[in-house]
Amino acid sequence: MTPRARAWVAGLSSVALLVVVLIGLARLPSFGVYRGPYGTVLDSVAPVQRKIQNVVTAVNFDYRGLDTMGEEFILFAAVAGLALVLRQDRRETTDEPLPPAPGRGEVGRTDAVRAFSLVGIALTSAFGLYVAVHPHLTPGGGFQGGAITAGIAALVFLGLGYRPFRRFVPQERAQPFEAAGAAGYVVVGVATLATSGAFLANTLPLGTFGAFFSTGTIPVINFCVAVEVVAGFVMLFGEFADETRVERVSPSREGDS
Amino acid sequence: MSWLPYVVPAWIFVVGLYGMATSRHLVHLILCLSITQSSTYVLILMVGYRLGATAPIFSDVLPGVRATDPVVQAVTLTDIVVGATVTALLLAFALRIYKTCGSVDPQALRPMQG
Amino acid sequence: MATLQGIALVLVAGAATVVVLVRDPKRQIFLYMIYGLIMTIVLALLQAPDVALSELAVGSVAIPFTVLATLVRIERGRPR
Repeated sequence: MTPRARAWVAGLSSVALLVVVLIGLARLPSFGVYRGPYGTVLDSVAPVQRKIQNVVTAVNFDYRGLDTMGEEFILFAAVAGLALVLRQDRRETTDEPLPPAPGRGEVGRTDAVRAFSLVGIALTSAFGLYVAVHPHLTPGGGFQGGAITAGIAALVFLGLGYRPFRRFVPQERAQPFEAAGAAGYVVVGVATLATSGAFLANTLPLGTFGAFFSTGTIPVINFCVAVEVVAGFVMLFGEFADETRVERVSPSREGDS
Repeated sequence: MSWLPYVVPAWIFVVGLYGMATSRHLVHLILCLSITQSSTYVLILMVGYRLGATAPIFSDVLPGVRATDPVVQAVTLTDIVVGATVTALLLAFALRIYKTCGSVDPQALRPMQG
Repeated sequence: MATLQGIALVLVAGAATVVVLVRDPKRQIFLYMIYGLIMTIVLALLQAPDVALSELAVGSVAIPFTVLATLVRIERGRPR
Protein backbone atom coordinates (compact mmCIF):
# COMPACT_ATOMS: atom_id res chain seq x y z
CA MET A 1 0.00 0.00 0.00
CA THR A 2 1.44 3.35 -0.92
CA PRO A 3 2.18 5.82 1.87
CA ARG A 4 -0.64 8.13 0.73
CA ALA A 5 -3.19 5.32 0.79
CA ARG A 6 -1.92 4.21 4.16
CA ALA A 7 -2.24 7.76 5.52
CA TRP A 8 -5.84 8.02 4.27
CA VAL A 9 -6.84 4.65 5.74
CA ALA A 10 -5.15 5.45 9.03
CA GLY A 11 -6.74 8.90 9.17
CA LEU A 12 -10.29 7.70 8.50
CA SER A 13 -10.06 4.82 10.94
CA SER A 14 -8.55 7.15 13.57
CA VAL A 15 -11.53 9.48 13.25
CA ALA A 16 -13.91 6.54 13.60
CA LEU A 17 -12.01 5.30 16.65
CA LEU A 18 -12.10 8.77 18.18
CA VAL A 19 -15.90 8.91 17.79
CA VAL A 20 -16.33 5.48 19.38
CA VAL A 21 -14.01 6.33 22.30
CA LEU A 22 -15.82 9.63 22.93
CA ILE A 23 -19.19 7.91 22.94
CA GLY A 24 -17.82 5.55 25.56
CA LEU A 25 -16.24 8.29 27.65
CA ALA A 26 -19.41 10.39 27.64
CA ARG A 27 -21.04 7.82 29.91
CA LEU A 28 -18.51 8.40 32.67
CA PRO A 29 -19.46 10.54 35.67
CA SER A 30 -18.76 14.24 35.16
CA PHE A 31 -15.20 15.44 35.53
CA GLY A 32 -14.65 16.11 39.22
CA VAL A 33 -17.46 13.91 40.54
CA TYR A 34 -15.80 10.97 42.21
CA ARG A 35 -18.17 8.19 43.17
CA GLY A 36 -15.97 5.20 43.85
CA PRO A 37 -15.76 4.03 47.47
CA TYR A 38 -12.14 2.91 47.56
CA GLY A 39 -10.52 6.32 47.41
CA THR A 40 -12.72 7.78 50.14
CA VAL A 41 -12.25 4.74 52.36
CA LEU A 42 -8.49 4.68 51.92
CA ASP A 43 -8.05 8.39 52.52
CA SER A 44 -9.80 8.13 55.87
CA VAL A 45 -8.47 4.75 56.95
CA ALA A 46 -4.80 4.72 55.92
CA PRO A 47 -3.48 7.50 58.19
CA VAL A 48 -5.11 5.82 61.16
CA GLN A 49 -4.40 2.22 60.34
CA ARG A 50 -0.81 2.52 59.14
CA LYS A 51 0.13 5.91 60.66
CA ILE A 52 1.34 7.06 57.25
CA GLN A 53 1.11 10.52 55.73
CA ASN A 54 1.44 9.58 52.06
CA VAL A 55 -1.54 7.39 51.25
CA VAL A 56 -0.25 6.69 47.73
CA THR A 57 2.83 5.00 49.21
CA ALA A 58 0.63 2.96 51.53
CA VAL A 59 -1.36 1.76 48.55
CA ASN A 60 1.80 0.95 46.60
CA PHE A 61 3.71 -0.94 49.25
CA ASP A 62 1.15 -2.16 51.73
CA TYR A 63 -2.41 -2.48 50.48
CA ARG A 64 -1.39 -3.42 46.92
CA GLY A 65 2.15 -4.61 47.59
CA LEU A 66 1.83 -7.64 45.35
CA ASP A 67 1.09 -5.47 42.30
CA THR A 68 4.20 -3.39 42.96
CA MET A 69 6.26 -6.55 43.15
CA GLY A 70 4.97 -7.50 39.72
CA GLU A 71 5.82 -4.06 38.32
CA GLU A 72 9.30 -4.27 39.80
CA PHE A 73 9.83 -7.58 38.05
CA ILE A 74 8.65 -6.11 34.76
CA LEU A 75 11.44 -3.55 35.15
CA PHE A 76 13.93 -6.28 35.99
CA ALA A 77 12.93 -8.37 33.00
CA ALA A 78 13.00 -5.39 30.64
CA VAL A 79 16.55 -4.47 31.68
CA ALA A 80 17.66 -8.10 31.38
CA GLY A 81 16.09 -8.43 27.94
CA LEU A 82 17.63 -5.17 26.81
CA ALA A 83 21.10 -6.28 27.91
CA LEU A 84 20.62 -9.61 26.15
CA VAL A 85 19.48 -8.07 22.85
CA LEU A 86 22.16 -5.40 22.76
CA ARG A 87 25.04 -7.60 23.74
CA GLN A 88 24.23 -10.35 21.33
CA ASP A 89 25.68 -8.88 18.18
CA ARG A 90 28.03 -6.32 19.59
CA ARG A 91 31.64 -7.23 19.84
CA GLU A 92 33.85 -5.93 22.60
CA THR A 93 33.91 -2.14 22.44
CA THR A 94 36.73 0.32 22.77
CA ASP A 95 36.64 3.74 24.39
CA GLU A 96 36.56 5.62 21.13
CA PRO A 97 33.35 7.27 20.01
CA LEU A 98 31.93 6.46 16.64
CA PRO A 99 33.18 8.73 13.85
CA PRO A 100 30.81 11.58 13.07
CA ALA A 101 28.57 11.52 10.06
CA PRO A 102 30.11 12.91 6.86
CA GLY A 103 29.82 16.66 6.65
CA ARG A 104 29.64 17.24 10.41
CA GLY A 105 32.62 18.05 12.58
CA GLU A 106 33.43 16.66 15.95
CA VAL A 107 32.00 18.79 18.78
CA GLY A 108 34.18 18.96 21.87
CA ARG A 109 33.08 19.29 25.43
CA THR A 110 33.55 22.78 26.82
CA ASP A 111 34.29 23.76 30.39
CA ALA A 112 30.82 25.22 30.86
CA VAL A 113 29.24 21.84 30.11
CA ARG A 114 31.52 20.14 32.62
CA ALA A 115 30.82 22.72 35.32
CA PHE A 116 27.07 22.62 34.85
CA SER A 117 27.03 18.85 34.83
CA LEU A 118 28.96 18.72 38.10
CA VAL A 119 26.51 21.11 39.71
CA GLY A 120 23.68 19.08 38.22
CA ILE A 121 25.10 15.84 39.62
CA ALA A 122 25.29 17.31 43.12
CA LEU A 123 21.73 18.65 43.03
CA THR A 124 20.30 15.53 41.42
CA SER A 125 21.88 13.14 43.88
CA ALA A 126 20.74 15.18 46.87
CA PHE A 127 17.19 15.64 45.61
CA GLY A 128 16.89 12.11 44.25
CA LEU A 129 18.02 10.45 47.45
CA TYR A 130 15.74 12.72 49.46
CA VAL A 131 12.74 11.79 47.34
CA ALA A 132 13.61 8.10 47.41
CA VAL A 133 14.09 7.76 51.15
CA HIS A 134 11.01 9.64 52.44
CA PRO A 135 8.04 7.95 50.84
CA HIS A 136 5.89 7.87 53.94
CA LEU A 137 6.25 11.55 54.79
CA THR A 138 6.36 13.48 51.50
CA PRO A 139 5.53 12.74 47.88
CA GLY A 140 8.17 10.28 46.88
CA GLY A 141 9.11 6.68 46.78
CA GLY A 142 11.47 4.15 45.31
CA PHE A 143 10.24 4.48 41.72
CA GLN A 144 10.37 8.22 41.30
CA GLY A 145 13.40 8.74 43.55
CA GLY A 146 15.25 5.97 41.75
CA ALA A 147 14.46 7.45 38.36
CA ILE A 148 15.64 10.90 39.49
CA THR A 149 18.84 9.54 41.06
CA ALA A 150 19.64 7.52 37.96
CA GLY A 151 19.85 10.82 36.11
CA ILE A 152 23.33 11.07 37.61
CA ALA A 153 24.53 8.38 35.22
CA ALA A 154 23.19 10.30 32.23
CA LEU A 155 24.75 13.54 33.49
CA VAL A 156 28.15 11.89 33.98
CA PHE A 157 28.11 10.42 30.50
CA LEU A 158 26.92 13.57 28.74
CA GLY A 159 28.83 16.14 30.75
CA LEU A 160 32.07 14.43 31.67
CA GLY A 161 32.62 11.75 29.06
CA TYR A 162 32.72 8.02 28.54
CA ARG A 163 35.80 7.21 30.62
CA PRO A 164 34.51 8.94 33.80
CA PHE A 165 31.21 7.17 33.17
CA ARG A 166 32.96 3.79 33.14
CA ARG A 167 34.90 4.67 36.24
CA PHE A 168 32.17 6.11 38.44
CA VAL A 169 29.02 4.26 37.38
CA PRO A 170 30.18 0.91 36.00
CA GLN A 171 27.38 -1.33 34.99
CA GLU A 172 29.11 -4.51 36.13
CA ARG A 173 29.00 -3.26 39.69
CA ALA A 174 25.33 -2.30 39.35
CA GLN A 175 24.20 -5.81 38.41
CA PRO A 176 24.40 -7.37 41.91
CA PHE A 177 22.61 -4.36 43.38
CA GLU A 178 19.75 -4.72 40.96
CA ALA A 179 19.40 -8.39 41.80
CA ALA A 180 19.64 -7.64 45.50
CA GLY A 181 16.89 -5.05 45.24
CA ALA A 182 14.56 -7.36 43.41
CA ALA A 183 15.29 -10.23 45.76
CA GLY A 184 14.97 -8.06 48.86
CA TYR A 185 11.32 -7.41 48.12
CA VAL A 186 10.60 -11.13 47.95
CA VAL A 187 12.70 -11.79 51.07
CA VAL A 188 10.66 -9.27 53.07
CA GLY A 189 7.47 -10.85 51.81
CA VAL A 190 8.59 -14.35 52.69
CA ALA A 191 9.80 -13.20 56.12
CA THR A 192 6.39 -11.70 56.89
CA LEU A 193 4.78 -14.85 55.54
CA ALA A 194 6.88 -16.91 57.95
CA THR A 195 6.16 -14.72 60.96
CA SER A 196 2.52 -13.82 60.53
CA GLY A 197 1.07 -16.07 57.85
CA ALA A 198 0.38 -13.44 55.17
CA PHE A 199 2.73 -12.46 52.32
CA LEU A 200 3.84 -8.82 52.64
CA ALA A 201 1.84 -8.16 55.79
CA ASN A 202 2.94 -5.09 57.71
CA THR A 203 4.38 -6.68 60.83
CA LEU A 204 7.11 -4.30 61.98
CA PRO A 205 6.19 -1.73 64.68
CA LEU A 206 4.25 1.19 63.26
CA GLY A 207 5.78 3.99 65.33
CA THR A 208 4.31 7.47 65.61
CA PHE A 209 2.64 9.50 62.89
CA GLY A 210 5.19 11.67 61.10
CA ALA A 211 8.37 10.13 62.44
CA PHE A 212 11.05 8.82 60.10
CA PHE A 213 11.16 5.29 61.52
CA SER A 214 7.49 4.51 61.24
CA THR A 215 4.89 2.62 59.23
CA GLY A 216 6.44 -0.81 59.57
CA THR A 217 7.76 -2.61 56.52
CA ILE A 218 6.98 0.20 54.06
CA PRO A 219 10.38 1.98 54.25
CA VAL A 220 12.18 -1.37 54.03
CA ILE A 221 10.37 -2.43 50.86
CA ASN A 222 10.74 1.07 49.45
CA PHE A 223 14.50 0.96 49.96
CA CYS A 224 14.73 -2.32 48.05
CA VAL A 225 12.70 -0.86 45.20
CA ALA A 226 14.85 2.31 45.11
CA VAL A 227 18.08 0.27 44.93
CA GLU A 228 16.67 -1.86 42.15
CA VAL A 229 15.39 1.06 40.08
CA VAL A 230 18.68 2.99 40.35
CA ALA A 231 20.79 -0.05 39.47
CA GLY A 232 18.44 -0.98 36.63
CA PHE A 233 18.63 2.47 35.08
CA VAL A 234 22.44 2.56 35.47
CA MET A 235 22.65 -0.74 33.59
CA LEU A 236 20.27 0.60 30.95
CA PHE A 237 22.31 3.77 30.39
CA GLY A 238 25.52 1.74 30.38
CA GLU A 239 24.27 -0.54 27.63
CA PHE A 240 23.16 2.35 25.46
CA ALA A 241 26.40 4.23 26.12
CA ASP A 242 28.34 1.20 24.93
CA GLU A 243 26.37 1.34 21.71
CA THR A 244 27.95 4.68 20.85
CA ARG A 245 31.49 3.29 20.90
CA VAL A 246 33.57 1.80 18.14
CA GLU A 247 33.72 -1.98 18.20
CA ARG A 248 37.06 -3.66 18.58
CA VAL A 249 38.00 -5.41 15.35
CA SER A 250 40.30 -8.32 16.12
CA PRO A 251 41.52 -10.67 13.41
CA SER A 252 40.82 -13.81 15.39
CA ARG A 253 37.04 -13.28 15.20
CA GLU A 254 36.72 -12.93 11.46
CA GLY A 255 35.05 -16.32 11.27
CA ASP A 256 31.98 -15.17 13.20
CA SER A 257 28.82 -14.16 11.37
CA MET B 1 -20.75 19.07 28.33
CA SER B 2 -19.17 17.66 31.44
CA TRP B 3 -17.37 15.09 29.32
CA LEU B 4 -15.42 17.83 27.52
CA PRO B 5 -12.22 17.33 29.57
CA TYR B 6 -12.22 13.69 28.51
CA VAL B 7 -11.71 14.69 24.87
CA VAL B 8 -8.03 15.38 25.58
CA PRO B 9 -6.91 11.83 26.51
CA ALA B 10 -9.03 10.40 23.71
CA TRP B 11 -7.42 12.80 21.22
CA ILE B 12 -3.89 12.03 22.42
CA PHE B 13 -4.59 8.29 22.18
CA VAL B 14 -5.91 8.48 18.63
CA VAL B 15 -3.16 10.87 17.46
CA GLY B 16 -0.52 8.49 18.82
CA LEU B 17 -2.11 5.57 16.98
CA TYR B 18 -2.22 7.53 13.74
CA GLY B 19 1.45 8.38 14.14
CA MET B 20 2.31 4.72 14.69
CA ALA B 21 0.36 3.59 11.63
CA THR B 22 1.92 6.11 9.24
CA SER B 23 5.44 6.15 10.64
CA ARG B 24 8.53 5.96 8.42
CA HIS B 25 11.15 5.63 11.16
CA LEU B 26 11.20 3.08 13.95
CA VAL B 27 12.32 5.60 16.59
CA HIS B 28 9.44 7.91 15.59
CA LEU B 29 7.11 4.93 15.99
CA ILE B 30 8.40 4.16 19.46
CA LEU B 31 7.97 7.75 20.60
CA CYS B 32 4.38 7.76 19.28
CA LEU B 33 3.79 4.59 21.32
CA SER B 34 5.06 6.39 24.38
CA ILE B 35 2.61 9.23 23.72
CA THR B 36 -0.27 6.77 23.41
CA GLN B 37 0.73 5.25 26.75
CA SER B 38 0.78 8.64 28.42
CA SER B 39 -2.78 9.39 27.34
CA THR B 40 -3.96 6.58 29.60
CA TYR B 41 -2.22 8.19 32.57
CA VAL B 42 -4.14 11.41 32.05
CA LEU B 43 -7.45 9.55 31.62
CA ILE B 44 -7.12 7.47 34.75
CA LEU B 45 -6.08 10.45 36.84
CA MET B 46 -9.06 12.42 35.54
CA VAL B 47 -11.35 9.63 36.64
CA GLY B 48 -9.90 9.79 40.13
CA TYR B 49 -10.08 13.58 40.42
CA ARG B 50 -12.48 15.31 42.78
CA LEU B 51 -13.36 19.00 42.44
CA GLY B 52 -11.83 21.15 45.13
CA ALA B 53 -9.74 18.30 46.51
CA THR B 54 -6.07 18.22 47.35
CA ALA B 55 -3.41 15.55 46.94
CA PRO B 56 -3.79 12.47 49.19
CA ILE B 57 -0.74 13.40 51.27
CA PHE B 58 -1.48 14.52 54.79
CA SER B 59 1.79 16.16 55.80
CA ASP B 60 0.52 19.69 56.11
CA VAL B 61 -3.23 19.14 56.03
CA LEU B 62 -5.09 17.09 58.58
CA PRO B 63 -6.37 13.66 57.60
CA GLY B 64 -10.03 14.06 56.73
CA VAL B 65 -9.64 16.88 54.19
CA ARG B 66 -11.12 16.08 50.76
CA ALA B 67 -8.44 14.30 48.76
CA THR B 68 -8.24 12.67 45.36
CA ASP B 69 -8.09 8.95 44.77
CA PRO B 70 -4.77 7.40 45.84
CA VAL B 71 -5.24 4.06 44.09
CA VAL B 72 -5.10 5.48 40.55
CA GLN B 73 -2.07 7.56 41.45
CA ALA B 74 -0.30 4.51 42.86
CA VAL B 75 -0.77 2.43 39.73
CA THR B 76 0.13 5.33 37.43
CA LEU B 77 3.43 6.23 39.03
CA THR B 78 4.83 2.73 38.84
CA ASP B 79 3.48 2.46 35.31
CA ILE B 80 5.41 5.53 34.11
CA VAL B 81 8.79 4.26 35.29
CA VAL B 82 8.22 0.73 34.04
CA GLY B 83 6.94 2.09 30.73
CA ALA B 84 10.19 3.98 30.28
CA THR B 85 12.17 0.78 30.72
CA VAL B 86 10.00 -1.07 28.24
CA THR B 87 10.47 1.80 25.75
CA ALA B 88 14.22 1.34 26.16
CA LEU B 89 13.76 -2.36 25.42
CA LEU B 90 11.87 -1.49 22.25
CA LEU B 91 14.69 0.85 21.22
CA ALA B 92 17.12 -2.05 21.69
CA PHE B 93 14.96 -4.09 19.34
CA ALA B 94 14.99 -1.21 16.83
CA LEU B 95 18.80 -1.18 16.98
CA ARG B 96 18.86 -4.91 16.43
CA ILE B 97 16.61 -4.55 13.39
CA TYR B 98 18.88 -1.84 12.03
CA LYS B 99 21.98 -3.98 12.48
CA THR B 100 20.37 -7.00 10.85
CA CYS B 101 18.38 -5.43 8.00
CA GLY B 102 20.16 -2.13 7.47
CA SER B 103 16.94 -0.09 7.42
CA VAL B 104 14.82 1.62 10.04
CA ASP B 105 11.77 2.19 7.86
CA PRO B 106 8.90 0.01 9.12
CA GLN B 107 7.18 0.25 5.74
CA ALA B 108 10.25 -1.08 3.95
CA LEU B 109 10.84 -4.09 6.17
CA ARG B 110 9.53 -7.33 4.81
CA PRO B 111 8.28 -10.24 6.95
CA MET B 112 10.81 -12.95 7.54
CA GLN B 113 10.99 -15.55 4.83
CA GLY B 114 11.65 -19.24 5.08
CA MET C 1 -7.96 26.27 38.99
CA ALA C 2 -10.43 25.09 36.39
CA THR C 3 -9.15 27.51 33.76
CA LEU C 4 -5.56 26.50 34.54
CA GLN C 5 -6.46 22.86 34.10
CA GLY C 6 -8.30 23.64 30.87
CA ILE C 7 -5.36 25.58 29.43
CA ALA C 8 -2.88 22.87 30.41
CA LEU C 9 -5.05 20.13 28.89
CA VAL C 10 -5.39 22.00 25.61
CA LEU C 11 -1.62 22.57 25.55
CA VAL C 12 -0.86 18.91 26.15
CA ALA C 13 -3.19 17.87 23.33
CA GLY C 14 -1.47 20.33 21.00
CA ALA C 15 1.98 19.17 22.08
CA ALA C 16 1.06 15.54 21.41
CA THR C 17 -0.16 16.44 17.91
CA VAL C 18 3.07 18.30 17.16
CA VAL C 19 5.24 15.42 18.43
CA VAL C 20 3.45 13.00 16.12
CA LEU C 21 3.49 15.27 13.07
CA VAL C 22 7.25 15.93 13.19
CA ARG C 23 8.75 12.99 11.36
CA ASP C 24 12.48 13.42 12.00
CA PRO C 25 13.45 11.70 15.28
CA LYS C 26 16.34 14.11 15.86
CA ARG C 27 13.85 16.97 16.10
CA GLN C 28 11.09 14.95 17.64
CA ILE C 29 13.04 14.14 20.78
CA PHE C 30 13.22 17.79 21.88
CA LEU C 31 9.49 18.19 21.28
CA TYR C 32 8.98 15.05 23.35
CA MET C 33 10.85 16.64 26.23
CA ILE C 34 8.58 19.70 26.03
CA TYR C 35 5.58 17.38 25.92
CA GLY C 36 6.90 15.66 29.06
CA LEU C 37 7.19 19.01 30.82
CA ILE C 38 3.62 20.02 29.92
CA MET C 39 2.42 16.58 30.97
CA THR C 40 4.15 17.06 34.33
CA ILE C 41 2.25 20.33 34.81
CA VAL C 42 -1.04 18.65 33.91
CA LEU C 43 -0.40 15.85 36.39
CA ALA C 44 0.50 18.33 39.11
CA LEU C 45 -2.69 20.32 38.42
CA LEU C 46 -4.70 17.10 38.78
CA GLN C 47 -3.36 16.91 42.37
CA ALA C 48 -0.98 13.99 41.78
CA PRO C 49 2.53 15.05 42.91
CA ASP C 50 4.01 11.54 42.95
CA VAL C 51 2.98 10.93 39.38
CA ALA C 52 4.33 14.33 38.31
CA LEU C 53 7.73 13.48 39.84
CA SER C 54 7.86 10.20 37.93
CA GLU C 55 6.93 11.82 34.64
CA LEU C 56 9.52 14.57 35.14
CA ALA C 57 12.34 12.10 35.77
CA VAL C 58 11.35 9.82 32.93
CA GLY C 59 10.46 12.38 30.29
CA SER C 60 13.50 14.59 30.84
CA VAL C 61 16.31 12.11 31.43
CA ALA C 62 15.58 8.45 30.79
CA ILE C 63 13.77 8.45 27.47
CA PRO C 64 15.70 11.26 25.72
CA PHE C 65 19.04 9.74 26.69
CA THR C 66 18.21 6.31 25.32
CA VAL C 67 16.66 7.74 22.15
CA LEU C 68 19.70 9.94 21.53
CA ALA C 69 22.10 7.03 22.05
CA THR C 70 20.06 4.94 19.60
CA LEU C 71 20.08 7.74 17.04
CA VAL C 72 23.86 8.15 17.42
CA ARG C 73 24.34 4.49 16.64
CA ILE C 74 21.94 4.57 13.70
CA GLU C 75 23.27 7.76 12.15
CA ARG C 76 26.96 7.31 12.75
CA GLY C 77 27.11 3.60 12.16
CA ARG C 78 25.84 3.77 8.64
CA PRO C 79 28.21 1.90 6.33
CA ARG C 80 29.85 4.27 3.93
